[in-house]
Amino acid sequence: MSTGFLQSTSDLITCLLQTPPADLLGLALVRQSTSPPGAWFPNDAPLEQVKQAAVEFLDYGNRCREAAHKLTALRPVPLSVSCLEFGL
Amino acid sequence: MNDLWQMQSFLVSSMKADTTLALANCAAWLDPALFSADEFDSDSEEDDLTYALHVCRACFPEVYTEVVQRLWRGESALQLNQVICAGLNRYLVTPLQDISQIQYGVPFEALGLDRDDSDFRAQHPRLARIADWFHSDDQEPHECASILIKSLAVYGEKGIHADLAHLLGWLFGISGNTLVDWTEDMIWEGGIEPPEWTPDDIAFINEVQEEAHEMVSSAQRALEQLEQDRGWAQTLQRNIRLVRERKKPDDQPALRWQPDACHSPSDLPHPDSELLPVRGDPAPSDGGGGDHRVSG
Repeated sequence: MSTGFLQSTSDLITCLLQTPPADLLGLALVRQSTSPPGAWFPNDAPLEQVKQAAVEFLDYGNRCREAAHKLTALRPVPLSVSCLEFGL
Repeated sequence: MNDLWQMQSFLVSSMKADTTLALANCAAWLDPALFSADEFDSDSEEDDLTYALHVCRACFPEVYTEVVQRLWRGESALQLNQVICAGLNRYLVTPLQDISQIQYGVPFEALGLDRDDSDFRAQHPRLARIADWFHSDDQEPHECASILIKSLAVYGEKGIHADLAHLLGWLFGISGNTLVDWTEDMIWEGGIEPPEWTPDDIAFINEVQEEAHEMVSSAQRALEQLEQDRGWAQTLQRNIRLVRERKKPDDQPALRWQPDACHSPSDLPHPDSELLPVRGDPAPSDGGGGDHRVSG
């Protein structure tokens, strides 16, 4: 019987793998860059755009850390589905 | 293109194609301080820069970004130092001169006076002259000044009365603003921790510093007024005498202050404020804006 919820760890992994990558300006700039040989980082992006990308990236990192912190402090949740991997 | 460059080019292309590696590349490019240690050697110039980057990263992301991009462009330590100082100074009331200062906390300027210092009279002869009027064997000068400040508070937060209250607060270290009341030595010796590089501490010390500058400017206006207007000097001296001649500490002498020639009567909160008893009102500097004493 499908409840529409996660049934197992593999469901959870599948679900997480389907999460689209964060749409970050920094990633777009890295991918779009046509930097010359020898350069690891983009050096052709306008400075203002780079600043915007960096501020967004810092904010993204902070949100990730905050989410990770919240996950470490999660209280146990009684499940009504059979998911033995998370049994108490 | 030689083999090494071809290999590097291949690696870069592969990194861009993989989301996780592209994200790692992005992190190294935009946020290199993420990977540096968060322990610093206060005597190392290199660590000054690393620490400055961490501070910028935590409190001033736009400055951090600019400095990081210049770092990748290979700018010199001196250039980076100047960019960081200029960037941080856009957010500070007391400017930073060099990134080596960052380890000592948010910069501030203590404007207080130490009347017990042997150099006080030589350094501040104009203020010493006013302080002499308060000299008494029976009463601490700051007690008398405190009573006068209370009597001046009812005249409002602007004008000569407020200026005079600020002058007395500054001269006797009773303004309520730590940067007005204490010298730098007093702050260090008093064990007051320097403000930390956090958004809250930065906002707080900026507010305290701005208020300190305003109060000292106001005090200097009063000093000029006392020097230029004999009437005001006599009024102050007479009121000092009235406070001293009280029979009991609880007595409330009727202190007279002349009206402010530069402010219209409608500016005054009390229509008959020429003759006012001492009240328990706050000093004008308090202004309801909160306590500006820096805690120890």
